[in-house]
Amino acid sequence: MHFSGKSGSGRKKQMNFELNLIPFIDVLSTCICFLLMTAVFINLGSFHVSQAVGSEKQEKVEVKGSVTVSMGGQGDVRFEVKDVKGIGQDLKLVTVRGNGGKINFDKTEEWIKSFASRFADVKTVLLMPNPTSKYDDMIQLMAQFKKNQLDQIGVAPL
Amino acid sequence: MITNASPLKRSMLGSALAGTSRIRPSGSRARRTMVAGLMLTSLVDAFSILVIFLIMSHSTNQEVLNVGDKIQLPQARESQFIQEGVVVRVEGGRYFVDDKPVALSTLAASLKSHNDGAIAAKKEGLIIIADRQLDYADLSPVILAGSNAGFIKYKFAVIRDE
Repeated sequence: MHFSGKSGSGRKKQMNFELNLIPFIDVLSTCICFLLMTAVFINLGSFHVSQAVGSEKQEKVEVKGSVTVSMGGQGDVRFEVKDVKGIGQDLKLVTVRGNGGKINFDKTEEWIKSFASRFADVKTVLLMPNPTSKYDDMIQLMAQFKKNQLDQIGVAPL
Repeated sequence: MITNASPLKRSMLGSALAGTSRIRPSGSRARRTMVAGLMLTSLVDAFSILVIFLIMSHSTNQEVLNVGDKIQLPQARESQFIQEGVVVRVEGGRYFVDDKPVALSTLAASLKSHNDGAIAAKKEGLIIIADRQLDYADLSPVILAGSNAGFIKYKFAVIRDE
């Protein structure tokens, strides 16, 4: 980097000087290396749930109906709607059969979407897994509910 | 120019192409010069921006959790940013509270001592880290112990799928 200037009296005075950028680049490179090495690239998130059964709830929340989801063996998922007025039998008690021992997530999302579109006031979901239910399956089911605005999710212990 | 008063002026290189030209070889007579100068200012600018960006992303980073080597977290889109709280990790059938191994029989007592010690932890809830293939039978004791310890909210750690 180079700077120059002139004095006002007419006599030329050299004010040229150079700024050595090499050490500055060295410092910046070291900073970049350090920051890149210590950076966390995995973006962790969390699912906020509460205990559905037997918890000592401190706050009283008005519940406008709820959906109880029972995860059975062989990937079966049973949806049971409680305390919701005007619900038809087609939505009140539905069992989505598993597909090859795994949960059929396309069918479950289809049911959740149709339910959420008709009963937007209902926000409460009680998830009841069985002892062999996989943690990943629980998370995927909860994600489907959250996606459809049913975000007050509780998990029942065994 | 930067070359006027710098060592670069003294180290100007003669063009190799000009010297071997058949049409008008000028390598021996008139000296044509080729300056090998580097504009470092733009490089410094780019580096500075990079450093500022990295520092900013470091400062806004959320809680760094120790996810075990054998644990593969589930992926989910509809998740929130993870925040501070007491961390329970289930790894290979063993339970860890804030990276300290705890027996299942003493899990509730350990969580209670953590909960009593920190008011913020109670507000934020219990963070649970477990493998995606874990059976619920191994996870349920954590929820029960957390309930006994006074935790109201549970946060299942996942990898945010953007």
